[in-house]
Amino acid sequence: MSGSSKTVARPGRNRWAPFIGLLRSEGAVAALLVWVVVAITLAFLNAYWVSVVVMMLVWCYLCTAWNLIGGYVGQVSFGHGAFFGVGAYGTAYLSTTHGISPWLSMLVGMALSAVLAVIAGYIPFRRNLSHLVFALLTLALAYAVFYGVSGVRALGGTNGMFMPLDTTGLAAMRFQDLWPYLIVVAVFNTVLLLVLQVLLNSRYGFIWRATRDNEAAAAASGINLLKSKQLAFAISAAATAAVGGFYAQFVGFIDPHSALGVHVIIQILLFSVVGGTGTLLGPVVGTFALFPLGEIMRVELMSLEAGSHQLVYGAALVVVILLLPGGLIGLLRRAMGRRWFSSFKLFVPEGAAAEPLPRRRGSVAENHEKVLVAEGVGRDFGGVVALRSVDLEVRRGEILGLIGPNGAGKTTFFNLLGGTFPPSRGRMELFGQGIGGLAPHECTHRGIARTFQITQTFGTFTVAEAVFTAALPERTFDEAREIAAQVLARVGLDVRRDVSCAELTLSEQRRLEIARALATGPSLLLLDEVMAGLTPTEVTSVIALIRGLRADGITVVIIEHVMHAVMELCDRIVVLDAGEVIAEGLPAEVSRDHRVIEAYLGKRAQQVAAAAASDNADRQGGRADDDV
Amino acid sequence: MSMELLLQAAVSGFLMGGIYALIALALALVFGVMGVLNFAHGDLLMVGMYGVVLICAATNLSPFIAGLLIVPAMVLIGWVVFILLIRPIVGSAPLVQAQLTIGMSFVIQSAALLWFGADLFNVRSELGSSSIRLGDIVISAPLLIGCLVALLASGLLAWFLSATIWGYRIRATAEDPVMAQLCGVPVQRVQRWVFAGATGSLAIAAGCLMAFYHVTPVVGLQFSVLSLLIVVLGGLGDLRGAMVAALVLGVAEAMTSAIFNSASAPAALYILFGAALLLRPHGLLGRGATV
Repeated sequence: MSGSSKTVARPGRNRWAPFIGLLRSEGAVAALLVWVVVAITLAFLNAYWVSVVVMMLVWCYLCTAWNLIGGYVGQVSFGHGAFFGVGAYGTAYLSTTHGISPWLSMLVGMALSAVLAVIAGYIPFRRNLSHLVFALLTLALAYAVFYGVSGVRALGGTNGMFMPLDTTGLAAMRFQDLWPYLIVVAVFNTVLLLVLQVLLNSRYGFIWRATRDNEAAAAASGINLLKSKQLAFAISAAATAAVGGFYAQFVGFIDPHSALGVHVIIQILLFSVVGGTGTLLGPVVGTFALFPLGEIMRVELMSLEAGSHQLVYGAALVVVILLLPGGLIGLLRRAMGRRWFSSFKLFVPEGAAAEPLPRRRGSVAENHEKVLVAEGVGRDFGGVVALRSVDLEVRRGEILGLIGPNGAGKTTFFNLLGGTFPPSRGRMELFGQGIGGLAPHECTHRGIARTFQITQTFGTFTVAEAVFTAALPERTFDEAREIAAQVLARVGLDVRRDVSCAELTLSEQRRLEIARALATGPSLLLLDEVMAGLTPTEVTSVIALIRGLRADGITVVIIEHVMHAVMELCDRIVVLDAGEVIAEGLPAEVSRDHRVIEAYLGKRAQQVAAAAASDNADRQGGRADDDV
Repeated sequence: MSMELLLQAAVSGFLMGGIYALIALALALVFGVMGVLNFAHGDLLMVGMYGVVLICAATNLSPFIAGLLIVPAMVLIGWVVFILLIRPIVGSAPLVQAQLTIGMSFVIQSAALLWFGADLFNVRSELGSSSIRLGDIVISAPLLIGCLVALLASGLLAWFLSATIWGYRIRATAEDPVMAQLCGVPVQRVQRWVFAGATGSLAIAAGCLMAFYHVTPVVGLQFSVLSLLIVVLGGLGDLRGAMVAALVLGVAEAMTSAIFNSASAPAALYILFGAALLLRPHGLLGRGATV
């Protein structure tokens, strides 16, 4: 699949290639679909249906804007009704009472919405709270704005605002006929779709999808999760406010219920999910399929109670979720083959030379003999002491083994170094600078990279994309490309570059973990059980890989239970037990230390081992393989 | 703004909060045991409220008795909803679960609209207008009884969870479903019964509410949002937190509408909710789940 794909964006070869790629992208296909609908509407349909299609395109735009945060970043916002209403009210109020151009007031509404979004997003994003907390907070925001506006007399209170049709023309965004509205809203849709497509093909697209797929891996790749989410949420909110302004001008009357009601977000969710979230086409297709259907039902059921046509919406939603995961777009993709239109494909050069791997620019303070110093570092979880007090130092260019029985606190120590949580006590210094309490992405930027014991992958990425994304923070697109190429070649994943991360074997997943860590350009590499579960041949090749990294000047700390590998690989070994260092020294010394044997095998085993050792004095005691 | 008015609001709000507590407990329990945040929770409650209206209209019973009578019907509804809709999405992404239950809420709401129309229904009973005077404070009798019944039901639930074998099984499932399964707890059965039981307990809440409240097809959404806010405010999965949050929210709701006498009053409640989460991100008691 790699070479045959039609649109490989290769900047440098042809500078128009990205633009041609854009024209053949999903966003462009969606925009084309919008214009086809506009053309059909203008050619064949009556005034009533023209106004229905205008509203359909408003919903289509709303779903597309919501999809950025809800689909691509995976944070389900229930607050988009507020942004829509802020846009609508901003434009209506400023243009009717102060005579300000609706285009200008639209910008005010967009800015206000972006600010609201950043405020509402701050609490859950900063503290990394559950997606559900974010959803409910944004829902609370929607209700707060709904009721807030209802009580403001200047905004018409619960009665709403009427906008007299004084001036018409493009500058006033008001027209006598219906067709110009249709053109304007179609242009809105086109601009949004293309802007989003450009953003998604840029570094932000990779950062956002990485954030959605796996937050732990994204943070370890050096991605600032708070910034990533806040940016997407603010853009999504501002875009939503823009069409709110258009809606106010089109309808000429707004009240809290129509512009701010909870039905706004519910319909957005409905159309987006039925179409398929996380794709640019999905929300467009979902709206085009459902909205006219709902409209027909509404007219058919006119004799019954208002609102009962929503039964169709609800039923469609339930059926799609239970029977059509991925929505209508998922169905289309399965029916027509995966690549029936080309999506953006990342270009990573092949056959990179075996150069030394790049380092992070900031880490020049490497003449320090001590890479890492930990003094009295500990961590409690409530009443549980996971790490009592650890003192250790890591010297430049060494491979240090960190071993100990399960529950000794090894991974907790890595989590402290990687910034997963701050230490409860003690000091940690990297090249003489304190690193206690830094966020994961900050640790990565300082030059610490880690792998996870339970492999963490980006489910929707290819191998090349995952490595590229880890190289991306604080580098340019082209630099990241080169680094990804080198790292892929180094860890031996070059041939698997276009395979989805979700399809890798265990051994390949472990290599991908190492690749992701290397791509960040670390000075200190933390490997957490990268050999567990591998075959002897695979273990040998990982050992060779780690030796090669040390030859490049990367300092390595490994947690490992494959003892013969630890003994073979490490310059020094530190043994942890019950949250404390119990032994430290050369592999041969440590393997004979009676406290180590006791920690691994218990007291009785130690006596047996001692007896055995006296029987056979030549024997090396280091073969306490695997988990104990 | 007189002191009496504030005190009056606080007392009524507290009593209302007691009923909210029963509603929110059911939601929190369902979330704890199967990880599904049910956006149609209030709509199921609304079904119960219409049920109470029908029974009362036909038999002239007190709404509390009517609520008790429809418990089996509500359990059955919960059972069917679980089998058809909830079981397939246990363990799915939160978006999927929220969507499905929102779809369910749409269907219930529209069906109620088709069946009963948009008109407001309430139950006439001799208790309806009676009240108790305590100095300057007037306590509505049905509200007081409703709160007591709801608190009694919540207490029974707490006893059931902490003192019976099935309570242990439920709590084990909430703690760690995989571990519970390995220890021999029939997790699927627990989840089914918890959902059915939680829906059944809504019948009691519906009876309490109908003693003084009214029902329309949009009441469901109102209670869904309210109980979702309570569960998040209490800390996801924390039952005691939900109980406290319900009382706090009930008082806050009554106080804000007493203090700000305008259509904007409810906005203060939602802003308070945001502020509370800023200070206590893991719920009022700080024991909610993080992820």
